[in-house]
Amino acid sequence: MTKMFKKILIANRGEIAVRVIRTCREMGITPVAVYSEVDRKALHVRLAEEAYILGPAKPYQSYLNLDKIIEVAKRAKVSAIHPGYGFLAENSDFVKRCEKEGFVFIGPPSEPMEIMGNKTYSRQKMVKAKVPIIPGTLEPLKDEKDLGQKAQKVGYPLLLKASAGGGGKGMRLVKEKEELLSSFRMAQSEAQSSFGDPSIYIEKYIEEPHHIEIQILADNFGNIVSLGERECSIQRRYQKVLEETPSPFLDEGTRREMGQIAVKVAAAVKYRNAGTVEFVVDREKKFYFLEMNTRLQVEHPITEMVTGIDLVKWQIEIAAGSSLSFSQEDIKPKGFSLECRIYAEDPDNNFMPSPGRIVHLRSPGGGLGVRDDNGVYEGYEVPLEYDPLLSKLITWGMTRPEAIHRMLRALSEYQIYGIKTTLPFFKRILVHPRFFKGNYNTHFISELEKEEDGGGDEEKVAALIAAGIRDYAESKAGTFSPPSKQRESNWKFQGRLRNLANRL
Amino acid sequence: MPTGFKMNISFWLDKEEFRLNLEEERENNIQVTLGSKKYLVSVESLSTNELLLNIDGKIYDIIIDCNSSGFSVYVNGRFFKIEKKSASQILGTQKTKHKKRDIKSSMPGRIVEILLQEGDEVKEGQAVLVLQAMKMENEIKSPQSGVIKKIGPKAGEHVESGSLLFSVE
Repeated sequence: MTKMFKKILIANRGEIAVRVIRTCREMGITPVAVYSEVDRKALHVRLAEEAYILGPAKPYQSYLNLDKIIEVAKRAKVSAIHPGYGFLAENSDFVKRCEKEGFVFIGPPSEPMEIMGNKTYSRQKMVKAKVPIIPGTLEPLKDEKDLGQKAQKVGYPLLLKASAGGGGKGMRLVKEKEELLSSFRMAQSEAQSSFGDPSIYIEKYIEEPHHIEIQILADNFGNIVSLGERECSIQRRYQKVLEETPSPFLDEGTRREMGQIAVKVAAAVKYRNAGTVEFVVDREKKFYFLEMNTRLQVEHPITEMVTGIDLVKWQIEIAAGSSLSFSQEDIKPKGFSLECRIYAEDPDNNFMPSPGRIVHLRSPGGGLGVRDDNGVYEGYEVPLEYDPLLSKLITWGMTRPEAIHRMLRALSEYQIYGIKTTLPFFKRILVHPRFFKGNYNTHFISELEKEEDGGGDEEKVAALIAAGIRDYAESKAGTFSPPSKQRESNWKFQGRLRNLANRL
Repeated sequence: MPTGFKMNISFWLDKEEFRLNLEEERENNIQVTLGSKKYLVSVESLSTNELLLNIDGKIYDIIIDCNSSGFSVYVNGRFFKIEKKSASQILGTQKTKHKKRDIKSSMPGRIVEILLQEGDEVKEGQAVLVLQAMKMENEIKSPQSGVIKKIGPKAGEHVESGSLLFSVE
């Protein structure tokens, strides 16, 4: 019997903190939340059993502040720390600090984290482990002369990528030789400003690529299992928008092979805990290792839906020293699952962030196979200091069409009013014939954005009629006069309007 | 309750005018004419700003806010700003379109990149600079065609909410 933790500190905020808190409570572990000054009323604080303030809103003064988090861990006498994703989740200094201070870090050891954090180093490691990588350079480019020679060897089109990179930062697509030098200089300066490291390497550009990742779990006894894939090709500017499992693009053979390679990747770096191996898959279903995310992924719930395995629970179990209670043969995914990431962004205005107060919120609870992992509530003020992810709406179905229709149904019930959200954008994706057939790659959204948005006519009519009815109610009673300089109290006005509408 | 109450209203939505005719045939049975189409509508009030509309048998759960210039309406996840402006007011705003406009930041963030220079010509909808806020990079576009008169911040600088990003004339 392993000794389970009594208390866990969750060094994060938003929906993922809520997600981890929920599992802690189910396991009888006391969750300890931390929060910044703008998060005093956040949902993760409301749901935690204990909570401690870290400091001002700015991440480096709160959720990125290693010293403060360790201080709270000592004060609250926790035995382990869960980092969620983002913030300190992939910071190996934090992992080392936890080890030094005697707290269990719920995640991988610092070494595999460091290897995977450096893209050129991890590529070298993978070559040694006989894992297929995207053709390109294994070392950062030395200078502009080196760049010219290596680019010639790899061939066009090619990608310039930051060694320390991720999320599309410091990345440039070079279609021909003429663009090479200027793109290189831009990528370098972007890499320097984003990661403090200007190192750039070259990768062959894969046409019509798919981004498909494999979830793995590894315990401390050498057991590693893959939990199937997640298709993440629905992206906008390198940000994932919607994920699904299984991938409609893969066949059984490729799927099995990718799972085996993912296990090999994890073994090669002595990985432990939950991790995700990302692959680029080309038109011919040839796949290449892209990177490994050494943390829990945002989109982990779709894997949970089809496998029935609570990934956060297993992260905690593994960290506490348990061995996996299931083997590869026991993993039999069932059905289909989708996730829509609902962001506080305005899809009608180039996805500009839209912080503010949620005046009205109705979540589509109820019905088989609908899960809403959110971090907000009605009356909550979405702060502008952090990632604008509000909620992840997840559905499961026996068949892919069932999961899609269930998602459309759940989306139609979801109401978030007061701020702009990406809610209406998903309907366009889900009803698109190419999506429905499962025939899409990473270019899907940029192509969709060029198409005319045909939807919304019905809603437009309903909106105009609603405004008409409101106006009508006012006029009918004859109590409404055009707005004068001295407007009556909004309360009185609304009250009267309500009475009228009731009488209509 | 008197029936046979009639009303004509004009609304503006996305610079387009819509004329509505409402006529109450029986209590809570309103015939709405919008353009060439007729709809039979009944309505229930759910709360101060929530309406349950039944339009030809189809149900719409609507959130509606009234303000001095019109209504903010939220239907099936979509948001509409409906205005009660008169035609002359609309023309008035069109005239002012060629005047100088200051574009200010609606949130604090960091300027990642400046794409145009002072004195450059700019088209409506063309990106002028890239602002990073809420961990995302956002292109800030010009709301009108013209010439960039001034660019407030430099690349790499932080801006506060309400500070000038650029002026276009």
